[in-house]
Amino acid sequence: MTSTLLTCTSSTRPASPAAGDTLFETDTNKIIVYSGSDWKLYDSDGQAINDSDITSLNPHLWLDPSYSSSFFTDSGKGTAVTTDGARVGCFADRSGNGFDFVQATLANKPTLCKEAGIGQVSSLCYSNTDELGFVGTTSSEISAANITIFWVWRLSPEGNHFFLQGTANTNEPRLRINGSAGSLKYNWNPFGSEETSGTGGVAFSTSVVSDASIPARHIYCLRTNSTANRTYSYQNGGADIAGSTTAPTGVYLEDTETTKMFAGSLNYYSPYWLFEYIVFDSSLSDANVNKVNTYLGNKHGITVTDIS
Amino acid sequence: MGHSVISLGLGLGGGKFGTVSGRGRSPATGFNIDVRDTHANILARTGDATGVIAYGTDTEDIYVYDGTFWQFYQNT
Repeated sequence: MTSTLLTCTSSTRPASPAAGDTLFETDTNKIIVYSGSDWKLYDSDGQAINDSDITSLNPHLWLDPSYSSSFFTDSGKGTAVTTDGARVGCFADRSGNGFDFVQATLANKPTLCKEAGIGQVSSLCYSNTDELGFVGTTSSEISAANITIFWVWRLSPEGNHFFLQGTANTNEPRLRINGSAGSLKYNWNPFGSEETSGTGGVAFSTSVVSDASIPARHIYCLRTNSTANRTYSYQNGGADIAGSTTAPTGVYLEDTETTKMFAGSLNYYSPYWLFEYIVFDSSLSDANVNKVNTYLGNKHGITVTDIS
Repeated sequence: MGHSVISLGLGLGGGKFGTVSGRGRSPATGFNIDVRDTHANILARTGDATGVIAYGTDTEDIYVYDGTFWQFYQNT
């Protein structure tokens, strides 16, 4: 038999414990140890979540920097990039769908950064001329009405940063990190619109981070739900920061259109770091959003709380 | 979620409560966790009872099975 702690709840702790008695409290997930005079409590750091738990949620697109086959010199994926500071021309999709983000021009390829994260998790570092892109296909295009995306990112200074945008103009889907007003705002201008018409998206802007914390790592989650007619947005879990925004009616990763990751041509402040990017072709449940946030938080050293 | 501060062999075991099984009562060695494996292998285990405790050989974290998930307690 394996080593097993006796269990109790916070209301059924032993009445006459001895010093050193140790139990697992099932309603709080705490380990409790009796010191001889009172109980000492040790908080769980969360549910241990494995890569397979994320895979089982069937991500539509998953750029995972810790995956063994993520970084290559070019779209052919013949030569892996493993050296710190080396140029990366392809961030390969782990989902199995082949939605790789690529860059053919050497001078515009981001560099592999093996020191910006924790736990030996690498990232891609972008200068203000670096950019990766993905040209949508009929299989990549999904309805924006029921979707969940996660970004793990970090910026260097305060400024305007375009994380994600469509091919050219402001009617196309963009996620902008705007720090010019002294706090960080997530701007969708809009999210879930169709590039050809510019319609069907939802636009919103919300301040969530003080400029002092901008250089830290963050997890941004956006979730839409057509049944509830809502767009939800979270910064490291916590409360919904999207307000009462309606759900979009357009598409995401649109066929024949380019989705750019960091629009370096806009020549704003740099560098920026992308640690991880996951897209689910569904509106995840609260429990599964918490699961993914916990997974990403543990992996990248970011404190998260359950969404509300 | 704060970081846990438990250290192996420090203050665990003994008394009237503690482990119900395993080699957990030796005063010479202190509490002993017999499930010592990698993070991935611990999470892949099946059939464990609530309260089973494990040590991650690659993460150096402690894990306790809550009946559904493995709760983890980080080495600090």
